[in-house]
Amino acid sequence: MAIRSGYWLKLLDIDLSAGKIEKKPIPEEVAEKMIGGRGFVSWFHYFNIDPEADPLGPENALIFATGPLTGTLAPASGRFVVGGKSPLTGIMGDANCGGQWGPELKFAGYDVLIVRGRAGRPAVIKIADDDVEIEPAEALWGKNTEETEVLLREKYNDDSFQVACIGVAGENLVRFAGIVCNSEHLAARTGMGAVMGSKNLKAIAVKGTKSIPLYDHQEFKKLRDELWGIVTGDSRSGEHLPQYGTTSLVDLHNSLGGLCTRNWQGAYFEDYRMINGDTLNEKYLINTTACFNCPSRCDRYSYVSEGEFKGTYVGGPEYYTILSFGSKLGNNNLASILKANQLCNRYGLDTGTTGGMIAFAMECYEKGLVTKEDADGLELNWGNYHAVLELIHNIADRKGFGNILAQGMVRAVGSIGKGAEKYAIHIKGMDPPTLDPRALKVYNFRYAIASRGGDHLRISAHGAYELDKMPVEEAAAKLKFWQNIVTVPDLIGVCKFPYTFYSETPEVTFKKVLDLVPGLIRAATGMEMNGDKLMRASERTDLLERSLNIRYGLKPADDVLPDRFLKEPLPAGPKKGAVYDIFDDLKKAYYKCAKWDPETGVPEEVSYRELELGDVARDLKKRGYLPAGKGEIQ
Amino acid sequence: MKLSFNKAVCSGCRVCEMICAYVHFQANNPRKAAIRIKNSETRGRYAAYYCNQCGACMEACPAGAIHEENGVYRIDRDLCAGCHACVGACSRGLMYTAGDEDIPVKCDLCGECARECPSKALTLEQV
Repeated sequence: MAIRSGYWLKLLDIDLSAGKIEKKPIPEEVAEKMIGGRGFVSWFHYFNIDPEADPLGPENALIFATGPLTGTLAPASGRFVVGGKSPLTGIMGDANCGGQWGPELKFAGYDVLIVRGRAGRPAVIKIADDDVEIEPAEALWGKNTEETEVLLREKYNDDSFQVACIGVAGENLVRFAGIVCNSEHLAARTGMGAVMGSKNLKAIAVKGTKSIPLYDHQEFKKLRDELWGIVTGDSRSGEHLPQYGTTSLVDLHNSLGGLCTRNWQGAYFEDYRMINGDTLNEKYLINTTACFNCPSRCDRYSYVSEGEFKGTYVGGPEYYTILSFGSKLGNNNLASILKANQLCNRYGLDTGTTGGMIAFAMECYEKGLVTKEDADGLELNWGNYHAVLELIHNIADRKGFGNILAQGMVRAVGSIGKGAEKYAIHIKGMDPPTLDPRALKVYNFRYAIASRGGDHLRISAHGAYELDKMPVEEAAAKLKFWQNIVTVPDLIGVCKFPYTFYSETPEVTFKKVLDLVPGLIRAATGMEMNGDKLMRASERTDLLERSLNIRYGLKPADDVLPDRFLKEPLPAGPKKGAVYDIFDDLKKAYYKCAKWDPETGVPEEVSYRELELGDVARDLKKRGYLPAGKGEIQ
Repeated sequence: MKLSFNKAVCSGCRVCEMICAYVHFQANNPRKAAIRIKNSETRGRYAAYYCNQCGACMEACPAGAIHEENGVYRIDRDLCAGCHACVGACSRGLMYTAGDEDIPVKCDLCGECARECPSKALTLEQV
């Protein structure tokens, strides 16, 4: 059945070099195959960006995509994905973001926005429904993300404009700069803010007044009400998330013996109670906030009312930020973490990689590879939060030692030398977040094979603790299965939390993702949809992302975990003595399960046929990654 | 009936806007809602803007399309000529106009927003 609604099937294509604005149709078959969100981003990435592109050159493109449920009444429908070639890793990059911006793009009448080229001077893209303009933005250059949003709304005399912008970090091409929406929601990972900065694009301000048409609004409302009831009635998505957001993971990771501590030297932080969700709630939390149309309200809003950081307001923190500036740096001062969070939001920095870079620097300092003099007089001792805050400023401003860290892990190792790679904990150039693989082994294999580098959001699973007890073949198959499940929210434009991670039981997640979501897509779009088709779309997206990375030169040797996890036993905590001793077996099993060639890492041709990506297979054959003259796809 | 808003607990999710637009227009479009959530002047807090049923719109309507019923001012869609005199008459700017709708959007205290509000910031009270 044809797609009748839900989507606009419209792409806004803007070339900043030429000052050209085009509105193009999105072919129906692309929507049917890729669904939206991450699927759209990987599709348009594959067919629009030259593999040789400099990630910070005009030839890279920045691709923003919503999904068929973005901006609808479906719960947590506030997400979009932005991607392109990553300046941090040199492979495919993308980041997912909540807030209000994604729905607004949809209300303006577009599913996808592609930004190419480079403006001759600082620019803003202004989208008001059908009216799209490229405006000069010299006055905004150098402003932080909060100021940028306020100034744009003042300029347009309309506070209904939603703003996605970069801060000073993106302007300065810090390779882990993010794109900031509503001054506190970040499309954080893989450096998409630096790509935006390289295009001289300060902000994209959007206002949309259109109604997103639904194919069968009564059916949609019925299914939506059922899903809404499940999400709000579930103790995880309906009670735990509003109460704690993600901050309870501090306690959980520590109790598992997997709380990254002092640049992953340990996995148990003795002071975890000083930085956990209860302490946040008691001392600093002033409101629970939410992304668009989300009943789970996991965002935090915090305020420091006394002490050194008195007066600090911040939208946050996530557990990811708490741990990246907390245990990972040996820092037990929660107020300083809130300050670090605020600085990162204003500068437009990924809190995770910023913390990861500083953790690396601190260990280099501890081991004598970096001296006080090298670090511009800063004493990079564990827990020295004054130095941490100073470094955040210097990273964003690319000043002194901060400039070395602003390059990201791989380049910083090159600048420091002296064997610094030993302390650079990253996969494919991106640092993993905060749960130690030695504590939960099978589950955290996800860091090794995630398409965007050290990442925890491509795979999440109910029963993660059981995986280590299974034979590796069975465990690998489970990982693949859960990967397909948790990819679905990324495709349809909703949040993973209330749809997948935060359900009381796996059955609840299956009910939501494999039953109600397909129904909602059918009712929104008129398109045939069921759980199997959705899972295939997830697999197709993963295959496409893998193909992008193969084209970027990725090899099996890049699907690794850092030596620290493989060789150094955990020194303390519940998993004391653990090393990651299953890597080779699990990798073999996962490759087999994913049908990736063990020698080359390239997916088998049969997958391209089964998942209807013949054009991609043909391109890979032409480029010599898949054997030509063999197989069915010619 | 009175719609009350507790600023201390609103999370800014805008579910109220979405459900209002759906109930009245079967539309996925917060611009068709009779309630708007915006950042308040206090950081981390939100403000809700909706009609307080003062009746100035009824006074201003040249077509007699607005009438009062148990303290609720309603627009009769068949009588409304879409002149927007009421929009100008609302000193608080709470008669909303939306995209392709000629007829202004106004709160009729149906209570759907309060029913859906996840943080119970909106409540419909008997007065």
